[in-house]
Amino acid sequence: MCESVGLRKCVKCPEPGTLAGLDPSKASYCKPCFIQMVKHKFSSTIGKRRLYKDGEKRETLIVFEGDGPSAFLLSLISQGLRADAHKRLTLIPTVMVLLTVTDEEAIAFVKRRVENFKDVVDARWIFVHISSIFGNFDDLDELNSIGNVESIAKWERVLNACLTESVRNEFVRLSRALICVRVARRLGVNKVMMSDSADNLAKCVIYSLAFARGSSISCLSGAVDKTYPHVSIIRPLREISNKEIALLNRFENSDRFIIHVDGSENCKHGLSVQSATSEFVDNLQVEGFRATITTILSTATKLQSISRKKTRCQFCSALFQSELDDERFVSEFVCLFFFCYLSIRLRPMCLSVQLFHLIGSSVLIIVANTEPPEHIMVVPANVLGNNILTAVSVQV
Amino acid sequence: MVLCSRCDNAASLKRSQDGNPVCCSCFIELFEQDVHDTIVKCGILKRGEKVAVGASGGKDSTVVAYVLNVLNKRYDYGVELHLLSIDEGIKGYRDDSLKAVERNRVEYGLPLTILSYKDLYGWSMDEIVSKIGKKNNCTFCGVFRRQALDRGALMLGANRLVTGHNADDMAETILMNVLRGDIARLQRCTTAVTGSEGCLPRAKPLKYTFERDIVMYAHYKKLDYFSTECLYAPNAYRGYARNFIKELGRTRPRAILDVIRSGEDLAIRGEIALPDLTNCERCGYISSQKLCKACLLLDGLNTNDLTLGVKKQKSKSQKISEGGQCSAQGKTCACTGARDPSEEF
Repeated sequence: MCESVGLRKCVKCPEPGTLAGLDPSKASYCKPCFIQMVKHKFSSTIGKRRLYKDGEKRETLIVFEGDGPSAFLLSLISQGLRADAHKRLTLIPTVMVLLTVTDEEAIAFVKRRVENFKDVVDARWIFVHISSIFGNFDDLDELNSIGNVESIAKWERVLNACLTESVRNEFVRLSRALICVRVARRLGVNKVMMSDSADNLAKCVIYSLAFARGSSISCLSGAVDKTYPHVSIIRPLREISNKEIALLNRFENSDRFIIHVDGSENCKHGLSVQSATSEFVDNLQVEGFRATITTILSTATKLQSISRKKTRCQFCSALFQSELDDERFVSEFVCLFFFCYLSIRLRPMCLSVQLFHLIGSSVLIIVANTEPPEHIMVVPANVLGNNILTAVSVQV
Repeated sequence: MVLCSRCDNAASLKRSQDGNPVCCSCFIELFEQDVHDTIVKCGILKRGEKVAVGASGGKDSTVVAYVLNVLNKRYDYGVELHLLSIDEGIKGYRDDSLKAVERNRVEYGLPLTILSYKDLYGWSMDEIVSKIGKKNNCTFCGVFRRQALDRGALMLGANRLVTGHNADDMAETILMNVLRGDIARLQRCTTAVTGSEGCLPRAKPLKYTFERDIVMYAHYKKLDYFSTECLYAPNAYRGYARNFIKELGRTRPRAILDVIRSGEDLAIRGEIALPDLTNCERCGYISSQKLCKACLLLDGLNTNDLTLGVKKQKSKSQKISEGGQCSAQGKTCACTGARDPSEEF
């Protein structure tokens, strides 16, 4: 009797409210209403943008990475496909298991674990290592796995070439999105569903500001990202926080989809822009500023770049400014790929990068292993400086 | 022994912008060259203008006054410099910092004008804090100081107002505006010269200069400044952003400039409505509401309604308030919700 007096009521029914989500006003829910609320956020993110209506293509690449949010996404896809006709998730999935660890035993361990629950989604499952960004996708039709020892060695070499932890983390983030888009193009799919949660996207907005990517924060945090030609990135967990995801994973036994691998990037410690940002946002949320994450995300969707130019880097989604010719304003991270390219001192065999055009004061760099060649970025020649002669000689 | 990257002398410190080791004289030369480049590139000063320099006695305003004076003589900008100080009426803090400004006036040979909150508004900060407590008092101080600087510059007949905001301050402001969703202010806070449309322009010559470099410059030039923090502002929300910016600067020094660069790249989407700038009905100064924030806060102080201008006014409240109305009739306005104009730039 005394215990129930202080309990708040669920905002949806007369039961005691024991759970609260991302809502800044601290609305309380009972367990069934909480589950319903979180799932409704997922459904409305997809439904309100009419992604699968009006004759839209339904083939979708679902990205699974083994962490909590992607386990949650897999569970929601599975339930959505099995729902009745009114609530069915009308998409045709292909599940892509994205591997980022470089140890062969760890990769084999992940594959074995995935085989245990492959039947939860009736779809084609493929395994893609993030180092495939340096490889080719020709054998993707026959095999269900791409990324070999050679590309993993290249990947490790590039990561070791990064000067700081901040650069390495940013390179991994950019490569992750790009590899998903490339696999989708190869499969003829025009939608990629990624499992970024609200917490991760808010932190991404803040540290993207610190990397001079203000012009693209609305793209990298929106529910639908159309910066890549012919492929849209969908983030259906955009309004769901990590806490809500963890609770629902526990309630619905989706924890079995989580794969912990030793040596994954979560275990890497060190001072970086990303870790400082993560700590900062978490501290604000704990200190009582509960609207931090929702405010950051709503702010990011209202902003765009002041530039009207259409030249956008396909690696980091940055728009190029007229000030690009001014060395003072050229951040060395306008495109991280460029920095890594310079940091390994123009070893083209590692990145398979060729200089294609020297147009006036700009250098057009092309990744040669893709077919057709894919433009990555335009860089003023004065930034390359003394390396320009070496770069041109590489082309010959 | 580490050598200077520009000459063969022994290096004394690392520059924050690029991490290069430099000696004292090269550091001073590069610092002044950077400020000069910013002034020329952003069009901060124009020949024949009278420029009011907001001087608080702290390191930033002391350095900006000194550097402008030096560069004005060296490069012949042709502007007339005038120091302008605001006395908030904080005992033990502002009176000591104003003594530092007095010493600067004597040393630099620049004229100085001091205005006080008591004279302009009838309330000093000590009286305001004793009335409303320590919470939210930065709101009052920031609103009053900004308008007081505008009034002082107009009183002097100045064409431009220069403040000592540095790169760290700019990065903090961009971050805070993102954290609080203040997109109208986010668009305005990053330009080096604001308020070009009919009202007094504000310029920030130290916009791309790091706070650490400013401290070292003041140290090498042996400038006299006051360095105590305000005793009424220990719990300001800006402290969170400041600590984070310092952490970013330790991790990657260019991150501060990159945050500013990000802020410059941002713009509001076309479909989002912004408030229109008009004039206050009561005092005639710039405002986006019928009553400006300073008049609204003064109303609150005079009528004992301490939430006026600070808390969000509910639209169905029986106590109808003029300040709660938005001038953007019918449109979704970005200024709904509680705003903290003390961070206005």
